[in-house]
Amino acid sequence: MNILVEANNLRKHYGSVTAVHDFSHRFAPGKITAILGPSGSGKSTTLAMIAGLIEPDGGIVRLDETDITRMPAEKRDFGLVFQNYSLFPHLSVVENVEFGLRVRGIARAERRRRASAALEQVHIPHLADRRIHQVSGGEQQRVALARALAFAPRLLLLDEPLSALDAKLRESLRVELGRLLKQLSLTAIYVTHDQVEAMSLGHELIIMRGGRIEQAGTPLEVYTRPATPFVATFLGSANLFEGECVQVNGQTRLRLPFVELPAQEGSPTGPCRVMLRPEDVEIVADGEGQLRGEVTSSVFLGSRACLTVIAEGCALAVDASNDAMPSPGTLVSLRIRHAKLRIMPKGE
Amino acid sequence: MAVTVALMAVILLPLFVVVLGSCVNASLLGLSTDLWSGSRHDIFDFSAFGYIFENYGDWALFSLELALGCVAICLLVAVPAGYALARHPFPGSGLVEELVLLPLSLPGITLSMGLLAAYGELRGPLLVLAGHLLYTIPFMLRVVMATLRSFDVARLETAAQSLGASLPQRLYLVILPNLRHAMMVGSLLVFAVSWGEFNVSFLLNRGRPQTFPAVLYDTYTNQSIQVSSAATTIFLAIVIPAVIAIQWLGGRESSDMEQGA
Repeated sequence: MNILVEANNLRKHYGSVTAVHDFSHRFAPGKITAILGPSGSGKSTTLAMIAGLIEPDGGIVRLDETDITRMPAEKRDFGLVFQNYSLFPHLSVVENVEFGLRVRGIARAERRRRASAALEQVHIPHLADRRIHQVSGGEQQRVALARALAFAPRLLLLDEPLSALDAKLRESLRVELGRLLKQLSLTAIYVTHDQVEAMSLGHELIIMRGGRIEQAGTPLEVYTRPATPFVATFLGSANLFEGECVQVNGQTRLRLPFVELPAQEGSPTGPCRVMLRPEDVEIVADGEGQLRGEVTSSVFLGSRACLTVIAEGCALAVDASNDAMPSPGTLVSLRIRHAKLRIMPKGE
Repeated sequence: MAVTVALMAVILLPLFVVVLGSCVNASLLGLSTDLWSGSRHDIFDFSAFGYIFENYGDWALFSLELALGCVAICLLVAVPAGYALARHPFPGSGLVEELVLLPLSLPGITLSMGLLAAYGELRGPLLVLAGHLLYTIPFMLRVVMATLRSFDVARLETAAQSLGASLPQRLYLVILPNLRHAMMVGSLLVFAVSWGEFNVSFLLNRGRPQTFPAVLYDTYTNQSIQVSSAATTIFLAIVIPAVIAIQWLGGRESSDMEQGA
């Protein structure tokens, strides 16, 4: 089951526009890799090149060390799940699920048995004989998943599979999908623009922007140690500041417009950009913080509140608990968990 | 509602009168006996139908063969062409589509003269068939292309491909089943258009048998109203079921599409 998929310098142009620039990655076998990016970042094109649905202009796709770049999609044995389900309207639910087995010449009784098992896996065995237009959107996506799994694919590719569903359904299906994929320990590539989906489902995360990989790593790594300001702001919310690392009495200090803090060890001196997550700023009792500022807005978000605090002319987004929401105009003391600051080279 | 009933009456009444005229003795109502070629004393008389079958049976057969031939050729030509145009559009494919539709906007006489000028030596059944195809292929092409576009054929083909289906499997298991309705509707349209076509058939044919609409022309100009009404009744008996089936299938298809995936 643990298939090694590798993309090497995959490239795709549409006219003068480069959709994907030199995409290289070894996908972790038996794990889910989430490709996350805004629309137009090249993530779906990358997936289609791995699937064999789009021919790359350059680069190689390898499956267990075999070059499959020119192999037609129908010969790859990859399961695909699409955003728009793409179920066959002329077939029933179970006939849809059987399709991959049917084109492989599996006998009727055997394929019915395997299709039923796939429908069990996605908890809709009772819908087997329904027509496609008789089942709901969420159920259709389950059918599409069962159809992609029924023929025991070597690799599962999912292209924004939950985007067409409403928020509540998306969340419950996401949890279920995560459980199923982990249980199957199938190598899977999951394309999405939804950071919650990407972080909760992916063992590994690839962030794409403008056809390039910005960063790859575990969700925790990417979240806590973003490689670029884009990654910092795309994945969660972030405060970004211009800063400078300087040597003071043999110690590296980080100078920000509103405060000076000890820098992490090994930080190179010179101008830099600094990321600070809103949850890494605490409101503390007067006198305990490193800086003071004035609350200018306070937005209640249910489980927490989001404040904007102006300190030394700089606006900071700050997370607060929902039971202590200072109203605008209040002066507050803030403490920054400076170990969580992320110093990035200046340049972008 | 009242308007609908009035419209239906305006459309259906003449047809009804024609059908009655083929078998009901109008002279018993005191109308002119010129209308009636049957027995003077019977209320119903179906002898005009026998006369038509005897004298024009081969014309009807020729017309049926022609219409069925058009259906077969349209299925073989327009369905693959429609698929190719919908699935793999190329620069100028829109123009090709328009060109195929062009004959529908030309008078039959223009088209016939064109065909005669170009292929005059082929004048006869073969050229009639060619003329009919120019009028019928657009219908099949339009219906097939509209259906292919409505269910986003590329999307379903991609899904089938990802599931391991080769091109022949995709065509046989995905494309054709989804085109079944369209091909039935298209076939009935083609049949009805070919069966009812007069101008081109009349101008491009040489000698006998002529197509069935020419029977109407022949009987209305040379025979009693009863005989020509019988010919018209036979004409309608063939074409009306086809038209009703088109309506019924069209309605079913659009309701499928609304509920479809």
